[in-house]
Amino acid sequence: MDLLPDSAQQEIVDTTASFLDDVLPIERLRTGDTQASRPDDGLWRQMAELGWFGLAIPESSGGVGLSLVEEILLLRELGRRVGPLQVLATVVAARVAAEAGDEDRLEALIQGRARAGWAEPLSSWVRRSGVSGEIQIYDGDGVDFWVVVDQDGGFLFDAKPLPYAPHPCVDEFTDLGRAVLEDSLPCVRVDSGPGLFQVGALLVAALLSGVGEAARDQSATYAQERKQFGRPIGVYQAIKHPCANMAVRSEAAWSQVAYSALALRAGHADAGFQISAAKHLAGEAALENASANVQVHGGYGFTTEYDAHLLVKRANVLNAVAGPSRFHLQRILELEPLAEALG
Amino acid sequence: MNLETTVEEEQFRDEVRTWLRENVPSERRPETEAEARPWDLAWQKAQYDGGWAGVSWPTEYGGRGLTLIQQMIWHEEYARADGPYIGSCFVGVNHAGPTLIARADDEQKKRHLPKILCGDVVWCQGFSEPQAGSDLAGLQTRAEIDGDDLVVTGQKIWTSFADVADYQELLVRTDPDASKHGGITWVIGEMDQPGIEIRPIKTLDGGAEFCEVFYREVRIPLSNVVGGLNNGWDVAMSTLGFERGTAFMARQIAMARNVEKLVDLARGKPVFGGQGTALQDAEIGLRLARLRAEVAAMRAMTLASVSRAQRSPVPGPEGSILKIYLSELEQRLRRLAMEILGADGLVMGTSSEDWPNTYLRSFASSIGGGTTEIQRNIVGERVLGLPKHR
Ligand SMILES: Cc1cc2nc3c(=O)[nH]c(=O)nc-3n(C[C@H](O)[C@H](O)[C@H](O)COP(=O)(O)OP(=O)(O)OC[C@H]3O[C@@H](n4cnc5c(N)ncnc54)[C@H](O)[C@@H]3O)c2cc1C
Repeated sequence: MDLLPDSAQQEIVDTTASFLDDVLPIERLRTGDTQASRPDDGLWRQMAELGWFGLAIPESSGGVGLSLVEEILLLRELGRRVGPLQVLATVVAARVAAEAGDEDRLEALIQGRARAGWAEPLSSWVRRSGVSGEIQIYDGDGVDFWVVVDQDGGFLFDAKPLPYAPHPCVDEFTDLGRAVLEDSLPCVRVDSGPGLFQVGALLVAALLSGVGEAARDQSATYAQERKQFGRPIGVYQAIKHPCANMAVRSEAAWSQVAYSALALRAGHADAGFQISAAKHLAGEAALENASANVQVHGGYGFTTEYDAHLLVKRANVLNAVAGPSRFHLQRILELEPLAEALG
Repeated sequence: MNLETTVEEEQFRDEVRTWLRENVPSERRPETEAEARPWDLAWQKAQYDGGWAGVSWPTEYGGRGLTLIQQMIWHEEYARADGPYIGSCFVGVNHAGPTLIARADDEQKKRHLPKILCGDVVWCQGFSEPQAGSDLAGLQTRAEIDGDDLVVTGQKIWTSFADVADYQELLVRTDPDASKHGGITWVIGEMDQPGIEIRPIKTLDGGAEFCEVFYREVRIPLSNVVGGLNNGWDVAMSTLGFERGTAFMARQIAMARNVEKLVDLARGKPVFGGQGTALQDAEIGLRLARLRAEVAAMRAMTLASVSRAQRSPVPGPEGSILKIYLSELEQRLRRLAMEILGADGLVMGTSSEDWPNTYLRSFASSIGGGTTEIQRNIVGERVLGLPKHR
């Protein structure tokens, strides 16, 4: 039993972190250039070469042959830097293609020749041979596919021919759009039950953990640097204790994300329960930490010149996707819990 | 990263489970300290005879010397078997014993460790004073050297089980001119000495767990000093992070079980003046769901803490994170129970395990063992590197 990365996993964490610090540091967003949030084609191919889009796909299908445990390590690092949702979407899209046995699309996604945006039905969602209903799309402008996962399986839609209406997003570094599907045929479809939705929720929880940790670390750094009344503000408990609360929430969130990834990989009966707990706790940690982080920064927190605003906005986006807290709490109440913990 | 247990660990679990099933006492632990003492000691002796005393103690001192994973399995099975609260044996087995192992001389170890382990004696902890709680190093109880003795005068407070204890781990000021942390000594005190007066204090939950202890020229031989004169702060701190999350293992499982008991309670409880049960009430349902999620996280954090301990032998401050989380969770759970019970919750139970009793008891969890505010200072300063106030 071990909840911490082994040395090979730690190497993935370290190389991911230093690569991201190089090419996608959070500072890139300070210019306000919303395009800077999305990787260009060159960078996208570099990510593909690092194996990001096929980490959990078997080697026989062109992937790296690892598991979703390595994927959460990657996405946590990405979350810390407010990375593009296209990575999440493409990772999940590759899984959908793999489950459907669609080798061409799988290869295009893994090799970085195709990208996906994340999409979710807004209201009722009619699933026959075609699909009808309105969807909201994240980072899906100009991509090849929109990926949707739900309790019954997953879809890829060929994005190009579908109508797309852009909307300004609370988080200016997320492309937001909507599309109305009318009996639209997905290009890939799997009816495999809730597994894909669980993976999606888990990966979003990993991103959220990263956001919460980034807020904690920004606050800790700022509280040491900023002086008022002749002392660093971190001396004052009205600042110190909220920072400590951030550390507590982040520890709980990440531990639960890691545990639930392992439970899902090991096929534990309570994996769905554990993932819902992870999504709820990571969402709460991200939102609470990011909000408190704005307060710790005072007036600077209310500007776009410091990074605090980025985290609040991204926390809201991620909290809303892959099932909001309320949805997961309802699941937690319905599911038989803690089989492992209660024996 | 993995959740797998080895074949040996599973065999160990079976062994633990079998032993506990056959040996956990079926009768309830008595409620008063005086009646609980012989009961606690008998249970300690039973564990000793079965080879299960001191699960975290090294084998050279008669302990079981379990690995952290094995300790976790032990505590999990203990909670599942409804193993009794350790009660008056807590300080000896979990605090004084480990401190003696780390810092005492051979003579002191030989004299005290076996008696603690086999359930012969009860220890208590005389650290806090009326003017020195969170600021423990401000303690004023004086000890002057007179021949081969220390002569102790002063007062301790909140000393749990002092009225039924044989020994205590006592912190005294031996050098009033030294720095605050520099003049303190850790010494083994005997509770039946002339000059010691013990007054139990009635607690918020109706018990009398802790006491005031007064010292008037109490003589303690210098040979009882552990770790050297004026070195007591260091001795006391050396075992502070000793438990590394293992202390919370049993409580965490107990909490998971209590949340499920509360869900069952809500399922059968009609709402006041309305229709349906408490569980069907949207707000109560969500709060129960939150508790379930947080209990799951508590377990994950414990595993993370054990994983960390396996990599580095030096205890980190993460125990403070666990303690904050656990005590807040406990208080939310107990408070929700009172809300679900409504008027029924106002009838005190006959057992300390009943809902109203545990609700009252839960106020202690953010105070004893270092308050939540102090734990937040520790997390802020030692985990996040924020500057100290002093
Ligand atoms: C059930 C129980 C059993 C106990 N058993 C024992 C025992 O066996 N032996 C023993 O020695 N002691 C024991 N204690 C004592 C316990 O360790 C102290 O109560 C605790 O350390 C707090 O000290 P205090 O009561 O003097 O409160 P104070 O230190 O006076 O604190 C009062 C309030 O001020 C806050 N505060 C104090 N300093 C700071 C600061 N720097 N920053 C922010 N907030 C601050 C505290 O958090 C608290 O809210 C026990 C306590 C309880 C409740």
